[in-house]
Amino acid sequence: MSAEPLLDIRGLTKAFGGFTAVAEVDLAVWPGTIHAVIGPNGAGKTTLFRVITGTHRPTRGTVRFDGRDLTGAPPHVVSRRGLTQSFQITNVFPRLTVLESVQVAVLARHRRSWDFTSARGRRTAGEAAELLDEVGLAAAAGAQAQTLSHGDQRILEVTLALATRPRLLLLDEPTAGMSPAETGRMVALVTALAAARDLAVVLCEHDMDIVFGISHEVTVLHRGRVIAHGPPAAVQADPVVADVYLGGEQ
Amino acid sequence: MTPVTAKGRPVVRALAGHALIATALIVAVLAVAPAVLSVTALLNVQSAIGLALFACATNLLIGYGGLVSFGQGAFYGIGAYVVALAWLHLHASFWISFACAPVVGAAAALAAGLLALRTRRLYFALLTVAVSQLLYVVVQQLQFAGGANGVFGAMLPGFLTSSDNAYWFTLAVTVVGLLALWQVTRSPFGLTLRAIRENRERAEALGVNVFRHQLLAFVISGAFCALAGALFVVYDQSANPDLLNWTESGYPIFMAVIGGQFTFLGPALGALVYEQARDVLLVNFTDSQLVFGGVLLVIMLAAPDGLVGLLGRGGRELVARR
Repeated sequence: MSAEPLLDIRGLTKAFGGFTAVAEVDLAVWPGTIHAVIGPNGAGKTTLFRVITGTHRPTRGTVRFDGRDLTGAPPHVVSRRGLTQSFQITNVFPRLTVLESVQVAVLARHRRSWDFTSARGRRTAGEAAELLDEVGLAAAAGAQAQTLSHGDQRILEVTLALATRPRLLLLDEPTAGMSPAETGRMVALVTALAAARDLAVVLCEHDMDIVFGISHEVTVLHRGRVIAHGPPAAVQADPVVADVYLGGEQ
Repeated sequence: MTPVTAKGRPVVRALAGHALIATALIVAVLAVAPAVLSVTALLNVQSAIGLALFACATNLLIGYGGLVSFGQGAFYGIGAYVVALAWLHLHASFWISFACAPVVGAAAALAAGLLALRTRRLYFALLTVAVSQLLYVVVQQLQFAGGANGVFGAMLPGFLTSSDNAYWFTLAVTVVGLLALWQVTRSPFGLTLRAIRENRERAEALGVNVFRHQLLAFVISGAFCALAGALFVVYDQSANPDLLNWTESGYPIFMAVIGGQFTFLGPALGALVYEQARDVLLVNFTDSQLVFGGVLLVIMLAAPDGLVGLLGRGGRELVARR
């Protein structure tokens, strides 16, 4: 493990009017690890993600990534620094083809989305096609994104994020609404990617089998605050966690 | 954008081939029109060709960018006024002022875009109306711009006083303008613009600076709308405040809807059809606007992809049956 966490969040607070959705959250994510953030509905997971990715500005606190301050940076800047998210709801480009969708991400990374001269750039098409091969969507390259199955759309969604070559990937409920087979495929993909690309993953997930099966570290949020943090086994055994969260649902 | 499946690719390529041949044929037919048509009929077609450029330039925003601007008439009018005012006050060469029109249009679009693109959807549409209406009202008060009457006179160079030459010049400028716009739509920039239309937040999360892409699209559209406005001077030898009015901004939107806003040349076809159909309606119906409204409604309900969408559907069936 390196001396400094890849993502280092200190005292992060986000209030909407009088409601504090995220309060004084500290979170450290190390390179190449899978870190799960769990908590009951309304615990502040999605708000936390949105502050990290720049969709919301924090009320207080700091976000450091890769040794640089990213607090309050807009989404496209956060993405270019190597911190990319995949969305909770299926969030693709409905009427672009699968290949075109991935190309958009590759072009953005190469800063070539301003290019007017080439017919979409053959190089970027090649890179996008390789990526589709890797995630198993090559056969659907020419199909419009909206025609894919739910599971394939979620895989495309993650592929879009990967195409930006992130060092940290935020996955907001990657298996929501998936069939067991699709879930298995997604879990295998995420673990393989984290290992093969030295990619850190921050995962928000309701399926506890997945959380405790693949995570290296788990942070538990409750009413916007961190109530537990540590290796999966320790968190699972924590009586406070069992009381407010795991006991209630499982 | 026709639905493309992995299996359907050859069909699409065949269709694209047909579309290319059809386009080349239309341009060829238009090029020889002066040999066949009367001066009045030719002038009518010339007007439609200029409007085709206006419609396609507007559709870069509406169809490709998902930005419904009701203010493109402002840039169209600016293009016409640049040529007319340069003639009136500076006695400038027509060719130079004609070349300047898109540059001034781009500058005006940059200013308007910086303001309007801070908002989204309905508010964006309303702001574009507001900016163009402001210009419409202000221009009518300006004595040096001819006030409510506008500027008119013999402002064309000798070469363009021949109706055939004026027609060919309009056709040539439009073809070159459309080729340039077409390259924009098929470039990486055009793809990114479509991605923003499809899902703004997702594009942003992938590192795309949405505001700057939309602003550049607005500037490019403004430049080509102004170029089309300069062509209006070739057609009418005038510039008047009505060009800036919001009703003028509505025409390219009608044309895009009639022709098909999700295809590149749909709005151009819409312009040709609209200009001919409008004359027929005006001659045959007292309430031509009412009939036109009805036709528009039927098109929107029955063929949301416009005439090109209909042709494409027919074409796909033809190709598939082979």
